[in-house]
Amino acid sequence: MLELHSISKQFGGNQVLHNVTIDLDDNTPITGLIGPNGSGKSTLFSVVMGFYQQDKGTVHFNGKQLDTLSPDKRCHQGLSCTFQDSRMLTFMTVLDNLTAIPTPQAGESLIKTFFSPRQVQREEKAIKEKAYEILDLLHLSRLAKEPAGSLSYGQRKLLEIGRVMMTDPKLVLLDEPTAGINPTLIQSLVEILQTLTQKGMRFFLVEHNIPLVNQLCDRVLVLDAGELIFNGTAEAARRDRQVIQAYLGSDGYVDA
Amino acid sequence: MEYGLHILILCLIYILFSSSLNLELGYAGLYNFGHVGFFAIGAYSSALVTVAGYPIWGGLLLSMVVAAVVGLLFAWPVLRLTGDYFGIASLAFAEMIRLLLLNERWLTRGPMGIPGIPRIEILGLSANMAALIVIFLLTTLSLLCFKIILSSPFGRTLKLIREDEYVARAFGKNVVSFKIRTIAVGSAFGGLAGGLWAHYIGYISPNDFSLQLTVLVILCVVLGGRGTLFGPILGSLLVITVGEGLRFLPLPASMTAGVAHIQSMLFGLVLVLLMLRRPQGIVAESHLLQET
Repeated sequence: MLELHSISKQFGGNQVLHNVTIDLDDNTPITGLIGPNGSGKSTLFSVVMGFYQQDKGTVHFNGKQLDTLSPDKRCHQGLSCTFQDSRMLTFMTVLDNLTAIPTPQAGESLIKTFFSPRQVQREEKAIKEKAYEILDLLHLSRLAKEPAGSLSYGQRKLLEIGRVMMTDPKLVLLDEPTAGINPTLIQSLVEILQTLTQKGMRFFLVEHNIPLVNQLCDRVLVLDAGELIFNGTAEAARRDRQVIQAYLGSDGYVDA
Repeated sequence: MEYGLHILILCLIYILFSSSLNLELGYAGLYNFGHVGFFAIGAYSSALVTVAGYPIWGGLLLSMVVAAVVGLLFAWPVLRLTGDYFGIASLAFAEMIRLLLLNERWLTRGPMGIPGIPRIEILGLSANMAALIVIFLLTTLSLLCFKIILSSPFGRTLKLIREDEYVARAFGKNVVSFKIRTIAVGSAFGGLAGGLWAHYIGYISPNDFSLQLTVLVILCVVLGGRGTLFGPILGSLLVITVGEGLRFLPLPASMTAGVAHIQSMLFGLVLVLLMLRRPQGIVAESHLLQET
């Protein structure tokens, strides 16, 4: 599904990613990517989404090479993402945070806006219905008309998932979706992710919440100082000496 | 009565001019300090063809088309710049247009300007009354177009881009295409405002399109409230009426020539105070105040 081959990325003298090769297959619903702070996880996501151009290596998605494609064109291939710092459109309503997302929309053409208003209205109706369905799933319907800036941090994280759902992506890169949110919301998030995987959506998850990674991920990749040091099951990762050293700096077991 | 009509017509032209800028500045977040350049292009396009004998409606249509095409040509390279750099490039663009108008005498008569631009005439009404009716109708129609555009998915995507371009790109929006189209539309209506102004005033010269006009139209948008349909309307009404009201200040005879300078200082001061105290303007965007 997603094939990264020998990806390297350097910022100034800092080698953030070094020869990272990853192959995500369609049979693994959620793949975890863990590693200490600064190990290059978010940079890797940015390379996949096209916000950073890698210095070396190639990115393929469903057999198509993405390297020359801009982020918007990569989205059209079925890739989507959430952001570490929950980039909400705070001056737009919760509903508009969702309805603005699908691309392309007939109403985004000025010609169709003026000369095919019925087509635009029909499509707009369908988009709104879908947005409300997603808001129902996220338990955010009652806040649809509120500005997204009035949501709590946890609700913003849920709305980010909602935004992703609006595009029906094949693969979603989730960057620390549970950071800073309470256990109840984490549980809601887990249920939502599991529902979506049943519908065929696949996730590549960066997360520091190791118990959650163990619960959700069938496969775990570990980055340390820009290098991929582990690729296997969550259970095996917990017992891998190199992984333990990367996290704790000495021998020992991660208590999960 | 005639003076009242004059103020009303000026207000309508500025409402159209500032609303077209609001599309770019308020909705797409494009700090276009060169919008006056499109106003000038519209004014000259319509003036030149109507002086040559073509009808006014044709001149006004041409003013929109020429301004839109120049807007596209301007936007294509300039939109590769972001933030402050885009603002500086747009400022330079307006100055470039003014210098072109000043120096291409074979076309524009340079500093002598273009006199005798045909006035708007309908139903045998007085010149000002005819201008008022036509300008009112065209401004209303333009505002209706803005309302349709801004309440459409296109307008919503503009807001998305203004709020977070990074998110817009991540979700598949071709940000440059949206910005180019916005500048083309904004320029077309800015050009129409320029054309109307030329046919109302009857004489134009390059120095009419100076930096001062840029400040004035930005003030109309920012004072009223950018990102709202009603903001630039209110802003234009206030700026024009207060600006004209200054003419009636009981100043000593020796200082009456300085009214224009007092206007400039006052407008500059208001702009600075707004930035400090109420950057969202008088009419705040619906959700601006509710943000937590």
